[in-house]
Amino acid sequence: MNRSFTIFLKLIAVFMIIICLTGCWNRRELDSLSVLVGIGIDKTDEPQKVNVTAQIAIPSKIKTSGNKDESSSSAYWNIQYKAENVFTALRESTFSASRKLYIGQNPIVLFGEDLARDGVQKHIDFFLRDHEARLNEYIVIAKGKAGAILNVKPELEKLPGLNIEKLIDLHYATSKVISARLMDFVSSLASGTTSPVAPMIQVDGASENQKLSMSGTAVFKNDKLTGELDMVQTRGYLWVVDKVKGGLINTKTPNGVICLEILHSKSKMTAKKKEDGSFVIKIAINADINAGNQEEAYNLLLPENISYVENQASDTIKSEIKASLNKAWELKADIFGFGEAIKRKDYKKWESIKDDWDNIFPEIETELEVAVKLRGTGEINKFVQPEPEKREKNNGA
Amino acid sequence: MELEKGKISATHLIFSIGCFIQGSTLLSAFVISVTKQDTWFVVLTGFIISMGTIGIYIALAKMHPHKTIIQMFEAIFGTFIGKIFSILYIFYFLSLAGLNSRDVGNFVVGYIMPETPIIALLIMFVFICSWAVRSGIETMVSYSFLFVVISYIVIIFIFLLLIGEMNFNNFFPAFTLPAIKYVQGTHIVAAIPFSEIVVFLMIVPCLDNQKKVAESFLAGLLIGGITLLAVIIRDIATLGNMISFVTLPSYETVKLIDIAHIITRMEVLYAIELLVLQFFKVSILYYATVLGIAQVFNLRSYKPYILTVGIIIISLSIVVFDSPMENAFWGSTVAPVYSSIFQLLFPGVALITSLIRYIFKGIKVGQS
Repeated sequence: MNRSFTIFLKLIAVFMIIICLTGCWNRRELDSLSVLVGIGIDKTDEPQKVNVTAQIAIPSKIKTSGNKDESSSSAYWNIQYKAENVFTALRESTFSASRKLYIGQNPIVLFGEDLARDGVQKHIDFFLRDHEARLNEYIVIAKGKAGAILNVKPELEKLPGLNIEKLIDLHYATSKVISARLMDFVSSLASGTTSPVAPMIQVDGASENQKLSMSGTAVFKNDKLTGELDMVQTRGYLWVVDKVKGGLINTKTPNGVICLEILHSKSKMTAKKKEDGSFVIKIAINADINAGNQEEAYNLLLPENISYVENQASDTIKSEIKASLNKAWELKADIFGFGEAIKRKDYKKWESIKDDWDNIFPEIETELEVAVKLRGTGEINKFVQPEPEKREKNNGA
Repeated sequence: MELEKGKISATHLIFSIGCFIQGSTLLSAFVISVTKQDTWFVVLTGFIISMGTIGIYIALAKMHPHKTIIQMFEAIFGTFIGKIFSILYIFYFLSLAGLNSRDVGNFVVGYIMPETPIIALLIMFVFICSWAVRSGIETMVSYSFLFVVISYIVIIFIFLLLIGEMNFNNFFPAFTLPAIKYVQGTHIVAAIPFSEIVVFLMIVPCLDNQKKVAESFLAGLLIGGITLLAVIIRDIATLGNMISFVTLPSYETVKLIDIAHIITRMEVLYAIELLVLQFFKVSILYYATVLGIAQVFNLRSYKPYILTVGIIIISLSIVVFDSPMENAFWGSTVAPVYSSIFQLLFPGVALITSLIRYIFKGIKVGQS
């Protein structure tokens, strides 16, 4: 074999590989995809079927510039299909949609309230199994029908699905809304004792001025919706699981109400074993706050006033936590992961009590330790008013 | 008879062994399905155990310098029995090459391109490997340093991006499984990534300084071991109790990267790393098979057999498993036992026999 023939053979080999690499069977271009930006799953009258609303983005209408006529039409298309399960419905949507659905960018999975009461696990399985779906999609529970939520056209965003995602992303602003990724939800399901939670969303207003708003937290027992937490209880829950990232606390002082902003907080939940063998859950919270709004003069430069405000704030936090604890005890749903904390502490004991956990959980003792630090007064350090001596002068005159 | 004229340095051998072990770290699901959140511990015990088996390889290499494992068997047991052992080893290397090619195929077909026929991928993959084998050992190992560096960079990068997702509570409760599971897990870790480096006994004769065999093996094992430990710790801390459900923990971990919805969808990093490392691993196994065949049949060159063996590897990797489930079951139950025969039993017997011959008959089996 001479040299040039070898080179010739090598070139043929290279070209063969290059030709094979140019096109693969799963080539997916934007013009042949319909990108899902939200999925809503609802119960139907037929027992074995679900109603799936798939929201498809229309890329050509998302452009911000362009003429006025175009902007009036919506940049999404909601396609509804009834089928035995989510996967079938999404596939059968190709009966009327000209492009195959692409789930890889899907930000949210909405479940209707009725469906959630019957159990969601059999509908979640597909999202875990599919190779395009991701574990960080948000799970949201719709009050009423999920399809109706996806029909509400947002004012600031083009796509309802992305709008809901952004509403959830903003949970840190108040810490009265939770965010539940598919991963968190399933991880709770897998633990067996921790109850999964997910945010709830509802439609407000009449048909013309409809808007969406987040409202509380859905609590699951295994995979079935059993109850909900209101906003205050939701924040109580977030304090315990160390997910409060911001928000406001209104506290009474001798002189009017003061609004405090939570800068950051850190909480630690541990299980302690008592001498008689039962467990105490100790929750220690450290929060830093900042004065945000004052209605009347109350001098925050005095140490005794600072500690008064701090105590008031920590009482508020405690009451929020107690509210959530009471609700969880009432629902017999261990949303906080107390069971997991005990499991980490004493595995052998846990093995013996875990079957009876539903009855033990409502009786479990907790110990709250809240330390609040006032870190600042904002850009002013006093309530704006005439200085006291001037005021006396004015009064005297 | 000089089949392979290439010479490699000790540094290249270290990085080749490290890179070879790293090839397996990405498919760590075999052991995670057994020991769950305690897998990090099993990695440590497996590492210690495999230092023992690697001690056997080092002793063999020291007693029979300038010989591959095939030639050692012929020197120890005589031509006939030696050749039987050699053929078994060739089959072992061939099957490992097939299995690892199948891992690549499973990954690409299962996660990236589900409708592509697996054979199309395997032909291209094995073709590239065969090209590497044809270029000779010197060329192959000179890539190892680059590959190790790339994979370390990728691992560190992913680690940093995932710090926010990690929760070290996921390691607790520790040590709650029945003891037998830890034994099984240790066995898997020792057998599947670590002791597979028995294949480097085919390459040791090319080492320019035969005195450095021991250091090279241990340093390479350390490089691979650290990678495996880091990857396992990262996956457990990130995935928590989900880790025993997912098919490819590392892949799901990388998929979770999401920094402000901007730095996200990093799984291509994982795919690149996997393909690069598996390319290296399959090339080494492929090379060992081809060289072994040439040595058993006393051929002048191994090159004519490259394409034939390549076709066998492709066919083997297609027929060996019907599905990834079968692969996973085999990996966590049968594979460790199967591999132990070649990693511990045969080398152990060979070492003891050559020691006995050395002591009682005074036969000079080599100097070290």
